Amino acid sequence: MTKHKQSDDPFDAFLSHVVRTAPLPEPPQDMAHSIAQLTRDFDEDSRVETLMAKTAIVAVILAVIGFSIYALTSVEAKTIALFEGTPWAFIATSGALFCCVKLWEIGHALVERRGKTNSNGVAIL
Amino acid sequence: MDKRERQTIPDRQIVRDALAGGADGFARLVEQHQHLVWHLVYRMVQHPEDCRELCQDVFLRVHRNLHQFRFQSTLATWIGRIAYHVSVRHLQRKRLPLADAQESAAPIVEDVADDFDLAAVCANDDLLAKLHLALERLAPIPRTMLTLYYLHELSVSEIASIMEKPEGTVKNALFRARAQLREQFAQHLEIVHDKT
Repeated sequence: MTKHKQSDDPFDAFLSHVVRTAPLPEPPQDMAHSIAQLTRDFDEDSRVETLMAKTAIVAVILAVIGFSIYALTSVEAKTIALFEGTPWAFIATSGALFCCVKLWEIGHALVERRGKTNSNGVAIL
Repeated sequence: MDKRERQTIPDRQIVRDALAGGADGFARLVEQHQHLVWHLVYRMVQHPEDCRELCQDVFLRVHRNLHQFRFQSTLATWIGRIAYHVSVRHLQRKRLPLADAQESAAPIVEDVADDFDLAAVCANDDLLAKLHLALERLAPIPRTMLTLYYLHELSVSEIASIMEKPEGTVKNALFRARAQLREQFAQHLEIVHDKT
């Protein structure tokens, strides 16, 4: 069935008239603005969630660094001598950075999952 | 309501504006595509309140996934596909049939009722009302296909892309839906001829 054939067939023309005149309510007048408002609220919520997630990540990093420093300073001089030459600060910082990267990946994966689409670009429902 | 009138803003511009996060960017996108989404969803579910909620859901999904739109199809087709999926999911959740179960057994009366006065039948309110009813009684998918084809003037390939079906399946479904309505039309003409 093509548009060309449609114009040749009087029943097609009549059916087109039937479909066009069939009772079909129009979308509500305020639909565009109410949906735009909803999306603004959604964006605002997302921003707050992102901010909270980033705050949590920073807090965890600070906690790891703080704990490392505390552990380092509370070690007796004898023990320090035992571990002398071990790069504690380097290990603590690396651990904190590793935690940071992992948390960031988890957060990013969660955000991606919320708006995931299939190969055709259709949202996975 | 003309298709060309509604598509005044190019897809790339409207997507760019919507993604820029401006207050009116997304509202313009909704305004441009709300008729297609509303008509598609309404024809699928035939319930105004459900339709309103589902349309909201459709546009929220569009908003959430717009950054992933790659312009591989038109924006209308992409949005239509989301609307179709949301409607199908809604009908499946309510355990409502999507297509006519006896579709294959539908009588084909494509070759009858071709000789008629188009102007006269278009002016026949009784016949129009009967066919409007017959249109509403079609299964959701053929009903929606007819609306997209005749009201929104989408091509078979665009409808196939929205419904993610082969073009042949869409052509076949359109043919059968037309045949069902033509049968109603032929029956009405027979009644009129019998009376005269």
